[in-house]
Amino acid sequence: MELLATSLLNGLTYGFLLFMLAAGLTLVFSLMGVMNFAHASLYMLGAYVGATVAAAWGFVAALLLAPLLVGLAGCALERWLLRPLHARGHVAELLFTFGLAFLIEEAVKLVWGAGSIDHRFPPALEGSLFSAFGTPYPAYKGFMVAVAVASLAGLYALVAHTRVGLVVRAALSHPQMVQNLGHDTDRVFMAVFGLGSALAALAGVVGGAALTTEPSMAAQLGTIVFVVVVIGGLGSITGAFLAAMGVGVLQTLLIAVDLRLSQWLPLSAWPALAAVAELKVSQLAPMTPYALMVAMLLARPRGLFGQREA
Amino acid sequence: MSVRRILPWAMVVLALMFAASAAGGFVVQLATQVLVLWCFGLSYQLLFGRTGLLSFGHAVSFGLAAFGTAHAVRSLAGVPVYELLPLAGAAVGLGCGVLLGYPVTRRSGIAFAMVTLGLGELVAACFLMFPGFFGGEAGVTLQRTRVPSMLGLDLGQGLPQLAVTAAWTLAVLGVVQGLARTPFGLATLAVRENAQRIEFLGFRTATVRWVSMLVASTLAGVAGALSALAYEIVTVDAVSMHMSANVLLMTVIGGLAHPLGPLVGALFLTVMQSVVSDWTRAWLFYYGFVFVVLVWLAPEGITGLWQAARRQRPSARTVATVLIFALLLVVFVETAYQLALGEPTRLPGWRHFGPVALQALLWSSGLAVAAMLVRGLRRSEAPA
Repeated sequence: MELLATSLLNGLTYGFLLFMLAAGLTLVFSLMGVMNFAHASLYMLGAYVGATVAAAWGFVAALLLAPLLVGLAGCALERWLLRPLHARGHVAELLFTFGLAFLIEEAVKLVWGAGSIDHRFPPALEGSLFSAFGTPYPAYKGFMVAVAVASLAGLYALVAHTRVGLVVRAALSHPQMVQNLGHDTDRVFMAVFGLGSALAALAGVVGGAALTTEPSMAAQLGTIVFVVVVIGGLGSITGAFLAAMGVGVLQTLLIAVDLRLSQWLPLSAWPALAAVAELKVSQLAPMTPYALMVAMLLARPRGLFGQREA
Repeated sequence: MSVRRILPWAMVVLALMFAASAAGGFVVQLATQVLVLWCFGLSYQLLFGRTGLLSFGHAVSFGLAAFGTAHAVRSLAGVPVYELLPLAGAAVGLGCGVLLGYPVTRRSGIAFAMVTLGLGELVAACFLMFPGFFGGEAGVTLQRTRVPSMLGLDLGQGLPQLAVTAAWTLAVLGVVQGLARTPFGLATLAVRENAQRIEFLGFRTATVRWVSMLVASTLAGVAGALSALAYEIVTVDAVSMHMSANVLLMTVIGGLAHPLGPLVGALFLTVMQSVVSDWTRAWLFYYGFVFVVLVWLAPEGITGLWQAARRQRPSARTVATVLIFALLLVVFVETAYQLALGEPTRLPGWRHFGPVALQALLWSSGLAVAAMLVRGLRRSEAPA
């Protein structure tokens, strides 16, 4: 029970981090049809810029400045690099962002070194927030969840309740009509891309402090975020939320299970499957998200809440 | 495919081998590497270039076939079938194509790319789960001399090994070139260009995609087997995302449309990996940069640029601009890496020309900024 509770809490915390990334990615995808491979690289940039700013002016400054800087970089990226490619179709854009992710990783290694750097939460966030079944829940994790909830509530309010959000939602379904009505859809696209980048950077500032800030952090989280977006349904924020929580909880729960597959399934009947029977459930954890994604794409390509097929 | 068509290719390969044998061990190794990558690239060209299926998991068939071959070598010790070992890789590749290819090719476009990405990560995540097959972190080693040659070749030497690799690569080339001329080859092109219309004409597009994937996986399996036999070790890197990315980058850099594209890409990657990486730590940056610039400016790759240049000769000004830009970029990047890592680059000529080039870079960028400022001021002063 205690194990279950702590795994659940950790899984939800991880899920919130995933969701911050997935929300931006799915929003950008639904507006522009761009599956941005460099999204996780922007998360990494956020972590590194955040660490540098935090070392100079403190953690709060990092929380504000890093998303701002990376968001501006995202706007520039959309305006000058992605927009000219748009006419050539989605595959060109996909290839371009794939190469860009590669370059950003090299650039980060160049500027900050190939190892991990020191990036931590301020001392005020040390200690525990509360205890569940005797296991303390660290305060910084609570802070992570708070940042995620606050930023995503802001995003929701912006999209659902403001005039700007109205234009964004209209541009989602009828970009040509919105343009004809005199709105500058190009600028809307750029702003949304920048917003997504800023969200990723914010996730990077907290995520980099909670996990480690290193050049491989983009690759580690990048494909998992893709998984979340695809399972949730491309373009659906609700779906991304549920999928992020699901994947986060599933991964942490599976790691905690100390059972062999042979204890559950009657695999001993087939000697050929001996290697499979010997597997521990916890060993399955790294591959479960991918298996889920492949199954989802094959069985229900729209994902949980997607409007259209991937 | 007629003899006349394969003859020039065979001569290219023979010339490569002669050059390699004249130059000695290191070049033989490089030539083997080029051939293995060429073979792998050819299979990817069929999949992405001709059928339009952008796969992020092509290394799955390559890597699993490499592991399969390693195990085949272990169990076939003493049986003289060495030259046929790539067939084991082909069988594994075909199996991958049948099992994984069927569900995957129900989709196309972005969805296909996403599923293959997931499958690639899935297989790579399996390697720690099955240490018996994948050999854990250390990988699986093999000794190719334990399987004797059918033709009595001395496989301990690099050159006979190169000859076997070359023969198989030519065979793969023949398959890819021959297939392009069949009705099926034309159908793959049509599916790439307009799947909906082809469906309307009565073709099953999913089946065309699947068959294309079957062939591509089988050929990738041959490439995987050749790599296992050439390096005598297979690690998890062979099935990883890293390998899938390499074949994608390499084939796009070489050019997806031209038959020589994969060869050019393989040469480029090999030179970067084995020669330039000795000179400078920035080689990965250059590799990625070339890819990104080509995707942006010349999606047909190096061979496409070459063809365009033959159709219409580029002006001297264009060539000069590109060369100067490339030079400035190299000077800038090398200086940055030197400053960041604190170790001098070993780029040839850097010791003599590096400092001069750096000064030239500083001056020219200063002048360029000044010129832009002057131009901007003039424009703002000009009456509207």
